[in-house]
Amino acid sequence: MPKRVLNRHIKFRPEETDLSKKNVSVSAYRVLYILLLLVRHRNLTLVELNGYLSENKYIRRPYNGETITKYINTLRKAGCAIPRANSGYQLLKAPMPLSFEEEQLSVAHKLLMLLSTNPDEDLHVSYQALLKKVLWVLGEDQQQQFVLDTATPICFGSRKSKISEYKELCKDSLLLEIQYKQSASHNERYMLEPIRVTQEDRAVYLVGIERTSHMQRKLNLDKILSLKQLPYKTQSQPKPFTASFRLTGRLACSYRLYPGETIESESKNEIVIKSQFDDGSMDLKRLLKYGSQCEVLSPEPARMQMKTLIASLSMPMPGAAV
Amino acid sequence: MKSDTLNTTAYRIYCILVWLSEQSLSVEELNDRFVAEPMIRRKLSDDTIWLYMNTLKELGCNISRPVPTNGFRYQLISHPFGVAYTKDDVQTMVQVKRFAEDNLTFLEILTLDRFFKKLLHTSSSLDKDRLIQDLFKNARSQDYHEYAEMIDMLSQAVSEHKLLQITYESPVKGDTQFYFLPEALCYEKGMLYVQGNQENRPDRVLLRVDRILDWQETNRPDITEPLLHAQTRREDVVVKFFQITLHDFLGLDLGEHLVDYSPTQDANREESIEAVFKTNDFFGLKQKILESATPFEVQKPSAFREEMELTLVEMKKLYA
Repeated sequence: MPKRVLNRHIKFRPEETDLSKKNVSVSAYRVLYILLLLVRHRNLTLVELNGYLSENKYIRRPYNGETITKYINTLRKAGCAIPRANSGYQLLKAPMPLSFEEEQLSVAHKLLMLLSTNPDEDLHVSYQALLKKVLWVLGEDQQQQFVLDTATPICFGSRKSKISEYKELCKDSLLLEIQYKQSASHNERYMLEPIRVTQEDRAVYLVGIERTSHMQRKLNLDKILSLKQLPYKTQSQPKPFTASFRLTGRLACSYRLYPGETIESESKNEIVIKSQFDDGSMDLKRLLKYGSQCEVLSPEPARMQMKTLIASLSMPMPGAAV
Repeated sequence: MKSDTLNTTAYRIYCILVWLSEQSLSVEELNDRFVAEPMIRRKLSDDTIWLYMNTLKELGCNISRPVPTNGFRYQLISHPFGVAYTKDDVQTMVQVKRFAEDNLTFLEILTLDRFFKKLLHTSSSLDKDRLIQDLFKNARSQDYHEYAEMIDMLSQAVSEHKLLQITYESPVKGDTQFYFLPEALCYEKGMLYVQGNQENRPDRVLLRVDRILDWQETNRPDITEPLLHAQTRREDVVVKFFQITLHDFLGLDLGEHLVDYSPTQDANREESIEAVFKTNDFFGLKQKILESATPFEVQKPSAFREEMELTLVEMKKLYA
């Protein structure tokens, strides 16, 4: 049997392409394959549908509109929601809808509302997109109850626009001159190459690399006093690095690894953790809570940073309280 | 039934797919449904059903054959007709789980876990188990599906102040047994804990729910009374935080025992905040204060002040 070439790029051996040899209903396969395509793509024109049918190793050819309509009608008869339209074929809901516990949908919806008040709207947008996928698989009765709020997220107006501004600055990849309120009595000037905006706990930070020292800095947006964008392209890229820290005592037995962490070595009452940071940042503050049961071993800048943090915890009182 | 507009074989196979997605079915049960289905109204041979199953398999369905271990039923293990969740979707779930920890009760968090697990379990992904594992691993949280009975029992014990005799898997001491009076369930950093008071320990204790191996309700008023008293006892702790604005102080996570705070300013106009806590969890408070990474001084009680000073000395020695 001669080889049948579908297009320049796809070649199948003959024994792989004959469905009838596999004890399979060939026509039914075509109909259900069309359903599968609509599940994956939701909305397809006749041309697009025929493109996918031609690429299938068992079908390998397009079909005219009348035949496709016959196949679609079978799916409609079976209960698939494919409305009649001139523009193509759209599958409005999943062929096998799911039902969820009421409390699950309630919690999912509650989170969407809470996220709409979050300063950083990215997570709200991603979660809303995820729930739209869920809406598609819900049964009709639950679909009507589970109404997604598609309006613009309610947010702290000025803070949200500030975050968007900083994200744009990161995209611009230009050097920033920043006046920063380092402490209540001291301001610092940074020449910063911005990388990204990140939210931790209740604060939003601009993360970047200081041009002179090449140290990564995380600046609280609320403490940025002034900012100027300079006409110099950023040069530095955040370099991944590995840090190690030792845990002793009870902590060594009960510590749970964070993503990116592995156990480098362990012995009785002591483990050494290796922590990979892809973007060059390391949050040492969380290690402070472990007290003297945790010691940063390397790299040296991280050790020095930890030393400075610990020293600052016990700064003496500057004077009598008023 | 034949129709120029209907591919009857495809129709029947679609019906099989929908029925099997609801429950496993034997050949006999399938035929009962075929007979009852208005568009089919007849039984089909084993060979025909086998051909239909092969068609579904060729489309990507994973269907197990009728064998003694499954009660001679066709079982739909997975199919490609569901939603495909991407790695980005799973990452969104991870971030939403983290957000939920600060904004939902522990019961709501467990409900959210069940919701996400069902989404992934019914997806068209070939590697659903891996996606679910990734969800919990990247969120650094535990799947509490198998602990439903224990969680119910603990919730009841909390509300009714029931004393429990617990066998606990301590990472330091191994399996230990002790009396425990639970006070509350709490969810922290991906893990569910029961907080309460343990016999012969003065401070509040946090036990990981997944480490409780066994439990038994017990009636020992001689043990319950002192533990109940310890549970309600609270001690005043005053801590001064330096070089911090009120705005920054309010952004710190200092736990539930913070009852009051007042900004002050010294002669050099340095801002500080005097915070008052009422707590019986000194270990937890110690962690919160250290993690705040803010200069501090414990004003009272003196025992806690000494403990914190000693901790700072020991921490500095590590980097001397």
